[in-house]
Amino acid sequence: MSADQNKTNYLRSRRNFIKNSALAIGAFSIVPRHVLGKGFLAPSDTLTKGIIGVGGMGRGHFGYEGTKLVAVCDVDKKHLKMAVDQSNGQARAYSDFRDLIAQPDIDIVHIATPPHWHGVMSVMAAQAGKDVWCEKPMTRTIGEGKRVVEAMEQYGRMFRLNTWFRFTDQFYGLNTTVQPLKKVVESGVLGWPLTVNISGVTGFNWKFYWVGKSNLEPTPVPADLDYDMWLGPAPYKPYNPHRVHTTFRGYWDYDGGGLGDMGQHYIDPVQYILGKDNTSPVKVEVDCPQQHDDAVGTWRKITFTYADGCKIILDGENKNPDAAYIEGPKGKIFKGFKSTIPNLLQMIDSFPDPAPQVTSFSESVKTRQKFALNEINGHNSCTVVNMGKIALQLGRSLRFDPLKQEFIDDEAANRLINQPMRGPWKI
Amino acid sequence: MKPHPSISSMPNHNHNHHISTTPTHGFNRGRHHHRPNPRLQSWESSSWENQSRESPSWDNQSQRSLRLLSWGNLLSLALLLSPFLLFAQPNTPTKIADILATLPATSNQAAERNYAELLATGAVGLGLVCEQVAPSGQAAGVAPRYAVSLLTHYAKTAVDKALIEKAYLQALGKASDTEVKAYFISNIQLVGTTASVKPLSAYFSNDALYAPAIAALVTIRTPDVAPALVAALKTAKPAVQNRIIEALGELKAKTAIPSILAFASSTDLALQKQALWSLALMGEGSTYSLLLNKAKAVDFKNDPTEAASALVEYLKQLQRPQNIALVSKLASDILAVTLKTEQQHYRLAALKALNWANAELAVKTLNAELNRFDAEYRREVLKVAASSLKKPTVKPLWEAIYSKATADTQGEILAMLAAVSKSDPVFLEKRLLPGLSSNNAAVRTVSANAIALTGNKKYATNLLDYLLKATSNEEAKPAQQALLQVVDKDNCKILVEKLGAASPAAQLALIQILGERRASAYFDNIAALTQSADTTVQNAAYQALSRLSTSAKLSNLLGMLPKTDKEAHLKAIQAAIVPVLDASSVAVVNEAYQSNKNKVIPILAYLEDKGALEKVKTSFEKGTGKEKEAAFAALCNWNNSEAIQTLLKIRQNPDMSAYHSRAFNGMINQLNRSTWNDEQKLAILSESVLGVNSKADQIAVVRAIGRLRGLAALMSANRFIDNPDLSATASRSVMQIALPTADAKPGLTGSAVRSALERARKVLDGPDSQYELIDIDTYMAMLPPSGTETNQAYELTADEKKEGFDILFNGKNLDNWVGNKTDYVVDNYTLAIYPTATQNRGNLYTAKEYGDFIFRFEFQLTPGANNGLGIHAPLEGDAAYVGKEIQILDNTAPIYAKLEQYQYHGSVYGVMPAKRDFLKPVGEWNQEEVYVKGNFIRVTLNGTVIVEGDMKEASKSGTLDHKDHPGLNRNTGHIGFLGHGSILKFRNIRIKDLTK
Repeated sequence: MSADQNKTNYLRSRRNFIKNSALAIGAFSIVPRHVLGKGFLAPSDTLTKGIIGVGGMGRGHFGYEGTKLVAVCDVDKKHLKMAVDQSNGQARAYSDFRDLIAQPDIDIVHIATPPHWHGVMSVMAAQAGKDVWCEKPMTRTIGEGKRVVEAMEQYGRMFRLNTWFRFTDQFYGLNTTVQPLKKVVESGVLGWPLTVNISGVTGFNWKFYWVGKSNLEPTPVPADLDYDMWLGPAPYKPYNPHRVHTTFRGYWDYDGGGLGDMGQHYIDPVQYILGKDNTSPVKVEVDCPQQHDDAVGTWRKITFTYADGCKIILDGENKNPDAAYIEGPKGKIFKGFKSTIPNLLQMIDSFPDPAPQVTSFSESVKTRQKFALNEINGHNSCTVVNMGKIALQLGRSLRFDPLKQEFIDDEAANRLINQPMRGPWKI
Repeated sequence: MKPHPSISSMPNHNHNHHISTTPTHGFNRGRHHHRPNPRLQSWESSSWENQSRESPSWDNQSQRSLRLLSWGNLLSLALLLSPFLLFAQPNTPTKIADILATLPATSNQAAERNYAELLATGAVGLGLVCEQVAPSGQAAGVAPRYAVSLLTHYAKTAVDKALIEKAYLQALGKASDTEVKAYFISNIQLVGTTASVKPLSAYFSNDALYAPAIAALVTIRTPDVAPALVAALKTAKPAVQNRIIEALGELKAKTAIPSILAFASSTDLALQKQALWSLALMGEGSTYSLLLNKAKAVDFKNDPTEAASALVEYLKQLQRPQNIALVSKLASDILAVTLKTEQQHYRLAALKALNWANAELAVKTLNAELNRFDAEYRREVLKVAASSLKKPTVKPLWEAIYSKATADTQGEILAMLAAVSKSDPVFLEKRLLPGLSSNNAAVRTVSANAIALTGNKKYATNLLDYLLKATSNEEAKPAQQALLQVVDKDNCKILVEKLGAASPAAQLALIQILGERRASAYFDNIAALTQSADTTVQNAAYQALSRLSTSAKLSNLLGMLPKTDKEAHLKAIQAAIVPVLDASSVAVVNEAYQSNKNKVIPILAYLEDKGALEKVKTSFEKGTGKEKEAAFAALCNWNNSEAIQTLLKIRQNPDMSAYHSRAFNGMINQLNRSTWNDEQKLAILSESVLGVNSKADQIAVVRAIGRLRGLAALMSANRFIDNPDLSATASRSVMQIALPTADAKPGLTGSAVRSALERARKVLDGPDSQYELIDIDTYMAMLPPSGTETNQAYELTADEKKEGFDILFNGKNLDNWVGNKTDYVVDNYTLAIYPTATQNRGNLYTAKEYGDFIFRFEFQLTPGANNGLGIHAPLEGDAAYVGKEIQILDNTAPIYAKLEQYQYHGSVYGVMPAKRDFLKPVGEWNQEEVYVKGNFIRVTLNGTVIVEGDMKEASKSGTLDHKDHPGLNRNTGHIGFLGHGSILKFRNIRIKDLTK
């Protein structure tokens, strides 16, 4: 693409901004619609949702419990049409998410865009008085995550991160939900500290397919796609179809490969199991080939260490074919919940239950109780992922201060905690 | 030959740079340029290897010999001249080219070394690297970007950073492409210092680059950034002004306030909004009135300037220790003017601020707010209150309010207090334990939950009392949940003691807790409750049995069977028996079987007893009514793979159609669980799918095939992709079989796999499909292109040429053939049959007819594969009869265990039997020759003659299959491959026509 074409794209972005700013958007509220009393409530007391980003992922949100779909939004006209069709014409269509979040009849905004939008949209939805159901990973940078935590507190919003492994779903190769693992760890039968190995051997898939291409040729933007809005806060880069729609996962600007995209699915339950919901590791060590600035590459091993010596090992090479999923000084649990401790599953039935969690987001929205996986523990588990991404990008091991949420003695790493956004977007 | 990418962009440099001819290096003239620095030698040698490996377009041969030569020279030279070499200047462009050729670095250590090497080339070297950064899409620009990335990310000392920053700034100035400029700006952002402020400021007037430039300046954050932004503010275009004001806000640049104030009433509402927001972010007292009045002016409504939002942000930013009075005042000002229901958001923000400023004083205000609007608002107010409860001065104030609170709010206040008192034993004794017997149900529940959270077993008694007094099922539930958090196997006893006298609701809860905890010591107590008069209790007791049973209780459980006829109860007892069965149970179970056949049959499915299957089969075949039904259910549940064949037979028996569907499901389940190998499983699945009509059953088969591995399974799944009912399942199965597994079992390769995946990706659907598409696409991109397998076009050997053989299949096309070219395809130089549909599309025949001939070919079988070689055949009719068929068959497959000998591989079908056991293992290539002269035939398989003789002679007293074979009278016809149902491959097909 020539310099002139680039310029045109930048100009277009500015024009859109000015046009959109003229619309009255950014409604602000602290309590949700249905709190405001009878007149605001749907007769059936059904919560309503609007979904931003209705590619394959977002259309998967149609069926999530307890809510009625009233609006969908996408920057690709094809996706938008598919979504409206799938809703049998019931959902109103928007091409600018700011119009969707300004709708007074929406309780919950679902954010199913690529990750580079999650932070901005979560904060704007919160400012507009919406509760937020956000796809994983929660945010692309540690700084955006901090801001989302702040905004949810500031605007009194409920937030739910869209992974299910903390509560309902079978946890990959473990053949159970995470609850029995939580009980085992809390009971102390494995001893302490613990090491968790997340690899193909233990039943996970690091999706090394999801890497980018290092030298994309500029190609014309398809007529159906508002590429400028697709990029949003991401740096401007000439369009190539590999950047968008499903393969965006291979680019640092929008995501972070298998680690960035699946990492929170795998790591969030580990933070919960290890009781680390309110903290982060203090060290991350990487073994990887040099990463490209734009395209995410593969890696061999990433090791996170917590202050108390617990470790999470992401083994990209399945180096250890006998690796236990979780291992302590007194016992191990392998894929399929096999264990060195006989009859472990039956044994843990005899232990007391862990504290109950709020696992229905509708309940959370209605009672204003924090959801089991909310912005705070979600941010902390996403920070593990984002720490790993920064260590990969820099190609070196890093130390981290969980309280300050900063890297220790590494300015380059700290400059990646907050990554600037392309105007007009800010968080 | 393509030029070496790292050199081609350096016009002034000799391409044969490995032998330096540049005159500037006196000592090295005519020699290799490298300094023999021992520290670097190891990576330099590895960089050579990389270069020759990674640059195939480079003229490797000649370069390698040059290198060898120069290394030798270099080493001897190094020994002689080492003192002088210290002064030798490295040839920088060459050095850079060498480093670039090794990028991206393969490890973190290599990256560190590369960085050090790059840095050592100094300003000239870095300049060269930056110059080579090309617009995205140009291959030559890739390596330099990796180099820039190293420089940006590894720069540590201020001196190094300054060197790098300078190189970037120069490159930024020189670059003409916008994307390249933006690229350098984004790198400057990460290493930039005050030296970058002025150069970046030059881009404020550049429509395409002002935004990245300002973003970089915000990150750089040196004290001179804000003045530079302010200086540009007045004359910039509105869009740039907007961005500058935003940046000043992010920087909290207080000195900029006067300049920003000029925009606070701008008629450009976007600018006004940005100005108000940035002023709010500064959190300075001087803008108090302005921001408050702006919000008042719009009556705290949403408007395009978002003045009310800015005020709330301002209130938050003000919250610094020196501003306590100011915050209180602003909060009170806001509370005074936001009395409407729709303004409660702003009230809450003000309450938060008030609470921050003086939590003790705020308690009174907050308490008064509790009943201002509705219950939802009350909860939000209590959340504000909760944020200060950790202060020792505040908590007592709320405890006092709690004591006098109305019934509505009491529970909520207690919950709030409890949340901050988790490890406070006094609070627990004084508030929570008494709370368990409060008159207020909400207080009771909150107390129980809070006590449970301690996880302290000593409160189990208190919670048990609470449960026993529960007045309703609604209250028994939370009591039960609370108890579960403090009861383990050891203190279950106290529950059992109260079990007898408890109310039915409490009994139900206690039974469930004892079951959850697997309190097997109290099996008898629960078993006794199966006789309770209360049916809910009775059912719960039965349900709990399976979690409490032990092998010691087997007789008791068997003894319970005759006492009930209720289906649910019997199932519960059986479920309790199954997990405790072992070898020692056989006798006692069989004894119970004698007296209680129907009720014990379901258990036999799990008994480790050789006779069990026969018993159950007999009951199914000979029994009637309940016995037959129980036996059939047991077969469907059979715990190992022994019943699979029985179920398959039931499924295939047209007289048993009432059982077909369940037999089928049972069979599939048992097959999935079985330890059979994939070939065995596929054979059964392939057989079972024949005649399956129901969509659900078909889906089950295709899904089960997807759990297997190997090409045969892939092709089996592939044939269902076009079936609209099955395409979703089949495509997912194809994907599962073809792709590598997470634990690194390799994927399948070959053009057939590629085409199957291409078809699969078009029909994949469902919530995970977009992930699956990425997996498929990336895998396909990695698949070796067709033709990289060892197969190649066949050429006749010299002998065959001399003897007069012709090639019938050249590996490229089917020109010499007629017939079914849909299922028979050319695949990677083989003639492959990939059945694409269940309908018969017929055979593939030679275009010409042959009488006497020598036909040679190779074939590769898949498990259970079945095909045949037709000879002397017409194009119509069943060639085995209207011509002759020489069997091609994997007769090692389990499903062909009972074949007649005349059906073995190589036999003239129905006419002449072949010797068995000369096939190579499935998957390997077999060589076969068929010699035909008149009625004489000889088949040689892998060097062994397996059939030889006169076909007419062999059938003169009747054929072996007792069927009519008119083809025996034909002595010429087409040669063909007969079959369309299984996958197999042929290659190297050639013929010598003996009639010529």
